[in-house]
Amino acid sequence: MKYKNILILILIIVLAVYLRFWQLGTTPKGFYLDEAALGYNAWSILETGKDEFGKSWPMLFRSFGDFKAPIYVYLLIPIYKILGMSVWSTRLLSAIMGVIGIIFFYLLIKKISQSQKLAVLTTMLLVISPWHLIFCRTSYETNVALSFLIISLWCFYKSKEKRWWLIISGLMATLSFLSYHSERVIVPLIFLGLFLRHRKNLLEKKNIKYLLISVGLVIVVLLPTIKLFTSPGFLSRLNSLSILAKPTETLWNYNQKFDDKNNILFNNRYLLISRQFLSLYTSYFSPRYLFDLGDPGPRNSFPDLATFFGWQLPFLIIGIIFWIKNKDKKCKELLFLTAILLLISPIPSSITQDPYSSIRALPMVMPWMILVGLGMKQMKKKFGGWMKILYFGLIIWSLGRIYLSVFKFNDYYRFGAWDYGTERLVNEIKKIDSNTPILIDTRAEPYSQFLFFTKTDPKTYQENNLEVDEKNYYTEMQRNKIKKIGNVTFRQIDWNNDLTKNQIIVGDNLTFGEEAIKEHCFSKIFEIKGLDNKTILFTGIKTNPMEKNRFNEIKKKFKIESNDCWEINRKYF
Amino acid sequence: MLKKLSFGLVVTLVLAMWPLSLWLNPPKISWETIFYKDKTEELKFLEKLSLDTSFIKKFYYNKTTLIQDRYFKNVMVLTDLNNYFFQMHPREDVPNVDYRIKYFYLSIILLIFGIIDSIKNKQNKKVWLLLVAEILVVSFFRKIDGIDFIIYFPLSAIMIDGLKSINKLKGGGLINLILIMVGLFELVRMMI
Repeated sequence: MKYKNILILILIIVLAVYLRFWQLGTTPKGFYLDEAALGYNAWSILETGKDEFGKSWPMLFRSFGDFKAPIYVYLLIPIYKILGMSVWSTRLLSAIMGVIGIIFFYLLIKKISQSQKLAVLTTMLLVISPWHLIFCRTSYETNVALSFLIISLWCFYKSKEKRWWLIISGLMATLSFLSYHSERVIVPLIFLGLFLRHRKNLLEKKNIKYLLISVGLVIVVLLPTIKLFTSPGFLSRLNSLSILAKPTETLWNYNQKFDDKNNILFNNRYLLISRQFLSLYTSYFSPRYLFDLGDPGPRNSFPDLATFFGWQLPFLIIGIIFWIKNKDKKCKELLFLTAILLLISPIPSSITQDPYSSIRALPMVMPWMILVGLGMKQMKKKFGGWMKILYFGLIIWSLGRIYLSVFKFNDYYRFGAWDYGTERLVNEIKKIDSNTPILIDTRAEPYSQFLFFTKTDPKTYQENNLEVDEKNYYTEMQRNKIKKIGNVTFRQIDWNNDLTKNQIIVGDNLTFGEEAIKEHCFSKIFEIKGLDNKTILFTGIKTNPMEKNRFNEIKKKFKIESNDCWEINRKYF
Repeated sequence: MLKKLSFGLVVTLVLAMWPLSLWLNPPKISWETIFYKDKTEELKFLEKLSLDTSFIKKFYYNKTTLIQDRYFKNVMVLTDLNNYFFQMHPREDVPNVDYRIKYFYLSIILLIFGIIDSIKNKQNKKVWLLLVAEILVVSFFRKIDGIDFIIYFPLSAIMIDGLKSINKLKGGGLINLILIMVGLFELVRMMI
């Protein structure tokens, strides 16, 4: 290894760490409810050995009517043990796994391409990739699954030198499988592809022992999850999002003009599904999504940044041309891996309804980066040293864009999507006397963030909020939408009864507009605004049942049309 | 004979849909270019500029940014396969873009084969050049519906080339049959 390349690699890793760790706890501003749910469940397991619903060491984590993959929660436990529970420590796991993934991505490319230059180049591209960056700076399971997948692939190729790496590869692949929903489809298909390609080598006498141990280990680790394969909990994600589970009339391009008789032909369910699947699948290859729009989900992208930079498009085209034309034996394995990653990664996300879901198709970031890297390498071969200067300039340019989008624009435009304001809400509630009943309107279900920021004792919470018994944890999908944490209750407002009690109610701008405050004699206690200083995120009001009753009586008696409770009260008393 | 017939049928179906959709649903062609003024867009842009006071933003945002963005967006729409084969994407709304049927969705296979064939055999260089030039020109228009029909000619040529290479394959006849069936269904769906 040349010293120059080592130095560049070190610089790349330093940059990766900087981009992923700088302001980790504060950018994105806010803490989304899924992040808080992951965090609090890890805290709950650490403190009591049970999750928020009282289930001991679950294999899938029940959460908002859905079931989350367990690995992120379990990996958070040692971090919380050392650093405690905070926004920073919760996102730390994702950032660490992101950097580990980058290091193994370098090793993987170097191993299969035998080209250190290409490995350095593609690693650099991954480091500055907005697609990878967003999921490293936030607590999402997808990034952890990707890193395990990269490690397992590297171990797989490493096993050609020392066979026992095959066992580690199997273990890492299993962890990836268990880390995120999409990987349940992606990982087995990728390894099936690798097995078919390397079957001769893998089935050789000297290797078969390790292959069998690896498969055996995979089955043992998966056994508790295999038991749940047919449970509603395991299938909940598939059933709620899959186009396969949708009624024919709701499928894309269903033609209303045809009556039932002709439906079999012209609104044929299988044709409609195949069309919708293909259209979703091709969206992952659409330059418009890759280079212009990015993921439409506000939490899955940064403003003004797509999944890739526009300047990478010409290099991608050159990379694809090289890929198709290539006859070099050295590159065969790299191109094979690129092909299977590229073709398999969008499959699970194409079964769901949304086009271009970058969170579900994250493993696709690898083949795209390899192809862009190959294109850049080809250009450097053709035009020599000048390209180095150009590449350096493009990377600096990209870093500037990242700075603006990630650290400046994202907080301003996306604070709402990241549930900014819930921590401030908790601080406001803490100021209120603990005997005063507080009701929080649950349109956005902020109870997980409340648990997280108040560090509510998990045992007390579990006792007061029974949703399902342990036996039916994975099968009973019914939810208890009313949560009680001390003097705070989370549920929808009952406009008939809640106003007759002395209490504090918290709602959003739609719940407590100025009109509602006047009409119902509310006293505004606090108001939490967004980072744009315009949007009102939460309003805390105090009910005044006595004044409200008086107002109703006067209105009735004097037949007054005004709806301003405070004005009438002032006038008549 | 049967193979030739099926080949001809596929070509007819591929070529028929875009002109037919223009005939059934004529576009309102507008020659307005992307150099128009939009106050709302400008205000949003100014709001964005005020978010960062450092010198960095000057490298990325200037007077031409809005025009550059509009042009880039159009280029991206015109290079999006879904624009031609799927009436864009499910659950999305693209401003100034039509949702007309251009080719039936399964004919995307022909384009893929056409692209691979062009690269492998270094064919169709002029057709590709024409296609790229047309995309770059059409992108200057604000509303591309109707104007983008000029792309039909090079794109169809590449697709027919793709069909030729499919017909050289062992199961080429079967692929033709599937394409004819799906194409006919799509044609009827479009016309009713």
